[in-house]
Amino acid sequence: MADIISRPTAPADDADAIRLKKIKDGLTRRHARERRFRAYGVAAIVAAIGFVVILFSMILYKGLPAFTQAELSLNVYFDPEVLSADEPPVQGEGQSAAEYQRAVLGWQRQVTMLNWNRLIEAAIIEAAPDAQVDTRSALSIVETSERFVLRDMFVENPGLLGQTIPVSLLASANADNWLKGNIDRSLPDSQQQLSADARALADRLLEEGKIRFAFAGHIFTNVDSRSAPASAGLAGAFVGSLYMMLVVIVLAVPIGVMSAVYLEEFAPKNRLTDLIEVNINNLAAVPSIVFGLLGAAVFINYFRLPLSALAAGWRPGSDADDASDDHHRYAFGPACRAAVVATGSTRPRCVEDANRVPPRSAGHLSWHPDGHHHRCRAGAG
Amino acid sequence: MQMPSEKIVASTDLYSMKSSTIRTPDAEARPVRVKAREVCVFYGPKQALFDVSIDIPEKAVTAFIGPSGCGKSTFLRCLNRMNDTIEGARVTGRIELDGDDVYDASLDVVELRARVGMVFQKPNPFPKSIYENIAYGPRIHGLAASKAEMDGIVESSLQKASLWDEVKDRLQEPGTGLSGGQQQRLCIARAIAVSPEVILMDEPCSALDPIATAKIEELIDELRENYTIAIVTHSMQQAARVSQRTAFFHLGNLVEEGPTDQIFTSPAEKRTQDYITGRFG
Amino acid sequence: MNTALVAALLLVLLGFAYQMGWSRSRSLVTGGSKLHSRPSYHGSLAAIWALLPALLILGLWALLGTTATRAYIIAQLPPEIASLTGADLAGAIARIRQIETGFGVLGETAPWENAAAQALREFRLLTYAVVLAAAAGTGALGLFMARRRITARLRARNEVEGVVRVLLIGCSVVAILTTVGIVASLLSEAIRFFTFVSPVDFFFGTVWNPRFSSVGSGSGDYGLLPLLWGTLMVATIAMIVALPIGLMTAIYLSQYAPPKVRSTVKPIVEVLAGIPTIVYGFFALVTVGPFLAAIGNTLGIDIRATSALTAGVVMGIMIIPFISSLSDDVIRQVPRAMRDGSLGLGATQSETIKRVILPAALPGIVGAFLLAVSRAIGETMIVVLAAGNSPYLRLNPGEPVSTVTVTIVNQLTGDTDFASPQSLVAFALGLTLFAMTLVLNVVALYIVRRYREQYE
Repeated sequence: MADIISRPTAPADDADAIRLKKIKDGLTRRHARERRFRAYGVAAIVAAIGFVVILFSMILYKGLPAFTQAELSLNVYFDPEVLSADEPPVQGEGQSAAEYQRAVLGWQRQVTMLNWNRLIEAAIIEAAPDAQVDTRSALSIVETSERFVLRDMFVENPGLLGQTIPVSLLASANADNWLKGNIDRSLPDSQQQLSADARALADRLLEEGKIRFAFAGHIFTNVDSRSAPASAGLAGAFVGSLYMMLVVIVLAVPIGVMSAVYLEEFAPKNRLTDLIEVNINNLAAVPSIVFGLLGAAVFINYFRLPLSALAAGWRPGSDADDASDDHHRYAFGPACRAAVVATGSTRPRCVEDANRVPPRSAGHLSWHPDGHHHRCRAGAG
Repeated sequence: MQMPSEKIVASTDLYSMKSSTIRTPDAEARPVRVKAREVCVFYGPKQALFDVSIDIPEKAVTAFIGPSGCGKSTFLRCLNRMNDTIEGARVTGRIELDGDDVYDASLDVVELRARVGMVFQKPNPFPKSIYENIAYGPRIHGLAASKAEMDGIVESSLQKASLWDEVKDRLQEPGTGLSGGQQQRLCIARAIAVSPEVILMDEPCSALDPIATAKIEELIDELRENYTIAIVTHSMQQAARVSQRTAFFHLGNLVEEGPTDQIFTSPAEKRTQDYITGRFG
Repeated sequence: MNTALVAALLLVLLGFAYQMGWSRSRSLVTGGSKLHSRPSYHGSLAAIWALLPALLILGLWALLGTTATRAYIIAQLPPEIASLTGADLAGAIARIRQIETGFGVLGETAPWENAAAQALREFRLLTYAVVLAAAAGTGALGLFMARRRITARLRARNEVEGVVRVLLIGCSVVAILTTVGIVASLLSEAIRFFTFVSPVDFFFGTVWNPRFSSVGSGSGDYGLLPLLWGTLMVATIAMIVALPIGLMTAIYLSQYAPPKVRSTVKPIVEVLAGIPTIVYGFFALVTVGPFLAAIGNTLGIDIRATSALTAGVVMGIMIIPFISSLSDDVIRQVPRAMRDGSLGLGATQSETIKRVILPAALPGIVGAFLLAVSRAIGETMIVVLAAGNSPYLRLNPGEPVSTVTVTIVNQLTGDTDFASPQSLVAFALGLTLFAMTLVLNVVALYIVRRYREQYE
């Protein structure tokens, strides 16, 4: 071995030296370009993550305050002078269910016509005895629907007559926004929704602790409302979304998973199955509004219903009538089915290596349209 | 790599075969181009190479042989720092190219790889034309100032790789359309185009048929006149045919190293003896 | 019909049939013969034989029952009531149903109402019994047949697999039926629309003004071009935002980022794909729109809060993960040998990416791009909220625009008659949209497929 070791030599000749010099000359520029390219990549990732952060903080920033609402704690006196109504009806012998229903409705109508606002007014004045407010201003800080809360308490328990009960009432949307600082306080009176007296009253009650911000649980139990926005809730929308999810899961998941299993494990590779696969991939990419149109056409031609009923179907959860439910079911099922099939059809491919384990439907519940290409790697199979 | 026992007899024939094909007188007096001292390689916590020290002489072919997973490819990839591209790989020890420390921070890996070219196991031409495949290296390194100069580099590289006659009329066709053997010669030409001092070949014939293999071996023999070549091969016959010096690796250790005929006729180590006679593989 | 009861009966039938098939085939084994299929297959086969006809009958009744009952009620009504239409007829039927359930109705009940209710009660009872009996009878018959067929040589496994296969094929064919349904319904309604407005006026008209006030008549301008222009403008802006960010993210994550960074960043970016588009629309309306308008203000450019720019930027954000994960897949499919070849020649990593990896991955990236464009074109909620709905041909992206999708929503959510061109035009628009996305998808899928084959 020793005989072959000699002094290391310099690059053999001039050509080599020139070539090396050329390479060395370019290095600074090339490395700068490399660093720039890398920086673009980092910038892109920062931008993408930045969007996620901005989006979520915006949603939280705008959304969280909506979960609390201003609430007045008042002592309401069920004044017998104001509440003058008949005794509640009782179902008599030989009275049909329909007739009894009518009597109850009549009584409730009578009770509803009572001036419940007078009780609220009195309670507010009791809470702030020295405030110089007219009745209009005083009432404007309480949500208009809250008088029905008192009514319902009374209908539930007519024995309240003549008693004083502590009650929590929702502040009106205007008062709520004023107290949350969503309204510019420097605006002149002419541009304010509430009168100056009402604003002062709201501020004072907040200070005294008679108005506080409480978690607005009714968001989850009430339906929407135009006349009393502060009492509006999402219950109808929730139920609508829930139904949609159920229908989609029941319709789309089994069909989707089964066709995926067939295409991946059983189907011969011929033109028909090829067509089916292309078809499914296509369906997954067809815009949802086209499925909506399919739904509209089927709905109208099959059920022969006028368009206004269809219009109801376009607003998810606005009316919980059967018609709009049907509409969504028809329109939505196929779209999701395609997505599920697309999800499913990539999965068995991944699974093939793992001894052809049949795909488990549980994994498919986490689908998302268009997410199929990466689910494949992410999923446990 | 279990070698059938009847091949043991054949392996003794190798020597005579090899002595008949050697053309240059001997490689003994050549100066050393690459010098490795106590090189260890780790992949994460696992050590793949143990204290390898070897000298690679100029204008000769040095073959690294040994059973699969013995570390011969790993060592080869240290010489142009291709191990850098593998996640979690770590190299210790010292490797010198013409006296420059390969792993020194001041030596640019881009420059190193321009000086130490590499040919891979599977032919991997870029999905570009034949011309662009060759021009790739000179272009990124800024070696050609004009189109004419580039044409010259492409032609001479293809000629050196003895591919010119086969492709001169279809330089604009995709390189991926060539046959396997042609693709591998294209890859060799691509490496030559940067005029490296050393060419590393990582089992360059393992994906080729015997005829293509013979052509590549012939080519390697020709290239030896101008380049320092290190070749990894799992075929002992190939090592015997093309190399002047042979290093035998086993389980991450360099067992023995010396002139090829000596390794194949009178190895100093029992393990080398066992391997070349096909007792394990 | 009591659904729970029927379901319970079916379950009992299923369990019984399975048990019967299983034990009978078992008894053949103890009798010394060698079964072709395992007992569980015999059980399944028997269950199929018993359940399938019963299910068929119940399904048929579920489909036709309501219509049949309604027809029966109408048949019971006096002619002058039966000849009523719409709400009046529906009201009369509802009253009879109320009487029949015993809940009672307001006002006096007419004698014919009582008679009809009585008849309905009997009809209900009768059909209930008949359907149930038919289901049970066919079930029993099926069971009997299945029992007779059980022999050692019966290829029960093959038959069960055949049934399963038919079921699976049926599920797959649903996809084709859906496509056929879309094309058929869009086409038939669009053709109705074209009887009002000529296709030339629709496809090449430059004015969009459907004039809701003159509902029913064909007057109004239905020019597609302003909508198409708006759609393309919003989609282009979206791609300008999404392509560089998405592609560079994919490149960085697949080529540079260590595994740890990759496994953290990738899911975070993909969160963007899971956000409902309505939330993006809200984001555009509340945050991005005012922000862009403020920027425009300081620069002295007039940018409206709801504009093509706002919608486009937010849509671009939405599409980022779509482009990044598709490109990431494609880039990672480029063989490592290609990368090594370039690095081995002394190329820097960025040179390798720009000169070797991206050109090699280009077809796949183009495919991803086309899919993203088709998504952008079909996106609805963001543009409904943030594009401003103003169907005019305008060059300035800072101005409001309207798109095909927005217009479909507008045309169908009004209170117009379904047979008017104002509503029918939605289907012509839908057809256009469907054709556009179909072409984009087919081309994209073709390119991606070819690309996959190249490296598989």
